[in-house]
Amino acid sequence: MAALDACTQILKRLEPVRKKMSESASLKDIAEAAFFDRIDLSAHGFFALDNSRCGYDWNLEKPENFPDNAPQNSWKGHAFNYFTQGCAYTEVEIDVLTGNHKTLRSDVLVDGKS
Amino acid sequence: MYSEGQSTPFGMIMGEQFAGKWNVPTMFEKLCNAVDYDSRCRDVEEFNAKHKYKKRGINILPTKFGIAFTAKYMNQGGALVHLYTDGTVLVSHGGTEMGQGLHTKVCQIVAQAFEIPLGDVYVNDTSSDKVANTIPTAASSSTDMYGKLYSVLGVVNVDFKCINLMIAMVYRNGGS
Repeated sequence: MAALDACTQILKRLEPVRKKMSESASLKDIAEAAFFDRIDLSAHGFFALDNSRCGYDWNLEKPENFPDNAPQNSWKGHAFNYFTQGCAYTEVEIDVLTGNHKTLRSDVLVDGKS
Repeated sequence: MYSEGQSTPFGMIMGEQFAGKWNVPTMFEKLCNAVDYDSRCRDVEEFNAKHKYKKRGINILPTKFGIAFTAKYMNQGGALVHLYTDGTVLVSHGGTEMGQGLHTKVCQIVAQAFEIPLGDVYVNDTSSDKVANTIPTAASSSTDMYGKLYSVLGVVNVDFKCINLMIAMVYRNGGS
């Protein structure tokens, strides 16, 4: 998210300039106009994953008041933000005498936009 | 295979609010149907019965992979973006490019943000004079940290229904 954060900062600064220009104005036109308006066209972006969505300590002892119905080891933290998910299918053929082998077919199903 | 509501040994529950929507069982079924798994298994058995020296194997496998560093302090990243008056953009970020395509992804994200062609986005070699105090480029988390977070939980206003399920035929030759 760091690069996107930096882009968003710059785009925010460009917004007043963009509003003064025609709809068809390119980024070059807007950047030029912003430069002459003395607007900072550089930005440092930063991202830190939400505190509740990362950090796991294997050595953490179970607290006394930990609820019984909560999953085992969940008091140690939140190991991952999310899971990537997928499935794969493969069909292979070998020749037991020569050791020759080939992949006849592979199908991969991946969930995501990344 | 985990089903919705089950917990991992490290205490993460498969499900919406905890680890994101759990799609693998649906995907598994979808792939089984798409490749016609049962009849292919029969074909393979038949082939193996007929052929003495050529043998076929078949498998279908679900997968999940957790994204984040377990060390909390490592879940951070920085980037530096310059916009030039010729309309081009230069981006530097804390991740290392080692053939995995991270620079390409970050450039694509920047191009999308500014709504400019990818050719107008340039990337600098990773260096501590651009982005200081970086963490290792590992744990499959660099696109999330340096580019854009694509996870369903990390982004606000994501329509859960529009998660794309895509089938990619990656490799096929001489199949029966």
